[in-house]
Amino acid sequence: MSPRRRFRGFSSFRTRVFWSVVPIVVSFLVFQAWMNIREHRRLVTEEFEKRGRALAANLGFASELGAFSEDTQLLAVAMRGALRNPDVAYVIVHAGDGRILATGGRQVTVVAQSAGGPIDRTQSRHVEHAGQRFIEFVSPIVSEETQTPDEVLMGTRIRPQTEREKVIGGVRVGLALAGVEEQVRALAKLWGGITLAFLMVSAVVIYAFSRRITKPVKQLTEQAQKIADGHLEEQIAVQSRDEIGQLATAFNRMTGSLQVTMTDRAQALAELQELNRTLEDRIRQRTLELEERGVALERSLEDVRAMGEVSRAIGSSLDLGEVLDTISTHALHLAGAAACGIFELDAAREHLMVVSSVGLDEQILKILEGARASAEAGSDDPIARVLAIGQPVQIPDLAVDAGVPGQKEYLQAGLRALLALPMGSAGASHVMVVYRREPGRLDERAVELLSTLANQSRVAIDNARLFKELDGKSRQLEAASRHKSDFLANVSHELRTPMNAILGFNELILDQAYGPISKDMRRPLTDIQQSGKHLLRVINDVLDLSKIEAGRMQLVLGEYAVADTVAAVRASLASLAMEKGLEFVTSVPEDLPLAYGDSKRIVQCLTNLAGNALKFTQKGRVEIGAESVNGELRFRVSDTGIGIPRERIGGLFAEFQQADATIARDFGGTGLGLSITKRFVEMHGGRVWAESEVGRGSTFFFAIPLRAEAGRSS
Amino acid sequence: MSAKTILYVEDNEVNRRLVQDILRPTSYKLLEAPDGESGMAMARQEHPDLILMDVQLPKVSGIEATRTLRGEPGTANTPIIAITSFALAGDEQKALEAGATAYMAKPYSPRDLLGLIRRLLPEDQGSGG
Repeated sequence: MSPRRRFRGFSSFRTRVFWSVVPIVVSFLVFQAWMNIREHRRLVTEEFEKRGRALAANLGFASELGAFSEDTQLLAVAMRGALRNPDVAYVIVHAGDGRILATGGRQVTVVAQSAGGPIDRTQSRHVEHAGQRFIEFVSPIVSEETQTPDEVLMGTRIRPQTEREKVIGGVRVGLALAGVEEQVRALAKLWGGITLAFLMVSAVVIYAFSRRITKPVKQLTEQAQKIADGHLEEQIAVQSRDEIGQLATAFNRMTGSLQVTMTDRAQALAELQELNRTLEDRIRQRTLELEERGVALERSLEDVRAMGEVSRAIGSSLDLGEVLDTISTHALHLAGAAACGIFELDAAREHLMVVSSVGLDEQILKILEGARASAEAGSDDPIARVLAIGQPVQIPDLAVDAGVPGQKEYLQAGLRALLALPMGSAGASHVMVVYRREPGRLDERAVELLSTLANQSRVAIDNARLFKELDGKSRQLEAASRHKSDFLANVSHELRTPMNAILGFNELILDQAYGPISKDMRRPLTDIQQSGKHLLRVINDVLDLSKIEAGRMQLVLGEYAVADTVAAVRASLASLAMEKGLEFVTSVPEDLPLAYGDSKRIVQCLTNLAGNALKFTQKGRVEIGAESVNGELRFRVSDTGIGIPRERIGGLFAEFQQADATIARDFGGTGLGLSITKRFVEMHGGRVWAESEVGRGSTFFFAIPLRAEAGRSS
Repeated sequence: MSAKTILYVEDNEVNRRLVQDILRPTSYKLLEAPDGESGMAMARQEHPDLILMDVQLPKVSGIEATRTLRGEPGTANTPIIAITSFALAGDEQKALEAGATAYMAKPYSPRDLLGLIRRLLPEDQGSGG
């Protein structure tokens, strides 16, 4: 805060004290003066009027005789007394009828000669004549009649007094207001002067008083400012014993204790600074430690990251060359090496092959590949040693260690140290070698890390190799699969052509197209027909299943009437039911809407189920039902046959499964029907299930959406 | 009026004999061809009243032969029954799309085949037995 600003702040305090007192004093004095003037004016006016009234009244009396006789002389005498008064400006005596009987006074000329209002009663009024203001007092001139003789005699007043009095004229006495106003003005001047004098005295007193109050405050402020600036030794000179004096004392006391506190604080600050310095040292030390650890951590993180990248590269690529290049590059980074190579001992275990290399020139590679190689624990060749013992081998300085193949070339290329690592266990045929420009051993950590990498890489190499083989196989399989459909078509055709002839001719024979057949011949011919048809069903089922398995089975979707479908199944199996003497019924609600799906496959499914039911039922009935349940189309085939044990139901729908292997033999059937049914139902987006009780019969269900979506076997 | 002729295009001789036997008691006259190519040649030459076309044929497939014959004025309206082997889904559709009037899956019942032929090509009454 600037001193200027401080002073102004102080000044305003004094001004405020001054200006808060002055208006009160001023308004009081002005009010007082105004009240005085008003009172005096009233008194003067009243006195003036009283005088005027008395003058008028006196004149009225004095003029009675003059007016009665209308004697001007008498009236002049009567007026003389009044006119002696300096305030009287004019006097006019009127007769009873308003005529002017006499006039007098200095200013009577300016007053109009007219009557100027009634004169029969006492009154006063302000009038103005030729710019001059007067108060006019009017008094009637009354003549009292003497008592009548009767009245005297009777001793009574017959008439009231007023009737006996008679107004015979009036006087008008004008007093000039100028005199009164002059008096009042003089009075106001006097009071104004007194008030002004008072005001000036008050101002001086107030100013002096406010100075007296504000001076110690100002002093206090300046002192406090000094203390605030740090001069705690300053003391305020206490002069008064009032609140300001007390404040100053308190201030001095506070300064004292502040001085003590400040000393304590300075000490504490010094201690704190000392502590800070120590702390800083410790932090710096700790930071250094942390940095070191951070570096170590970062390095291990880098290692982990590198391993992760290698793993990812191995996982993401099955291309052997790509995987090996990734491994070499990472090994280079991990070891801080200048070059890296991956070598493989050939099948004859005589020569090395370079599988991958980074930073190795052609010449070195040629020498390494050209040299005879083997797996010998005692060899000078580090690669041979690694191949033999399955442990890492380090050559800390190629310049010192003689006998390493390619030593001269390594040194020429600026490579001074090498680390050879086995890829896999002892007897493995892959070696990874990292080369560095600086001589010296790699620390254990690095060796361990690189060993891990080398071992992991081995897996990658195997995987890539395996993939290569698999890839070839899968290409073959794909080709085989491409031929499968043609194959199936051919097989189907090849099987059906002779079957067509067999069954066709047999039917012609049975129909006696070639002449009559004996009763004995009919049975075996019928058997041929039955067996042929059975063989055909087996062929159909096998082909269907193959097509489904190959994903080549497609539904041919269209609208169909469920009742027609069920009727077709019944028609195709009716003869079998009749042969066995079974009741064979269908139950389809009439209001069932048109369904959407592959009706041919639905017929096939129902035929499979109903065929089975007829097969496994010796007496009783087989029923095919269909109904709509919760928007689904539910088919049901129930029989009164031998039933299926509960634990066998689950496996019913697997391929080549019938509840009992012997049953298949007894009753015929391919064992594929249920499996195919299941597949077709699933292709329609439905499901199939069975309920059964041994000895009582079975019910097979399948439910499909009323409107199936285009499905394909998977 | 000469007897109605039926051309049977089929590479399997035994099956051709079967159809011969099936048609023997009827008044239909049977023509035969062992492959698609000769089948088409015979159809153009003889103008049969009905053709039985096996789908799987050497040289030119039955589907192909059917399509070609349908495109020619001489055989555009001749009823053609495709004999399929129920090999792959859509065989029947393929045959119908190529222009076959109807199809019969192998192995067919002689009775059914004759029924179908009679439906498409009513036999002349009184001639033959």
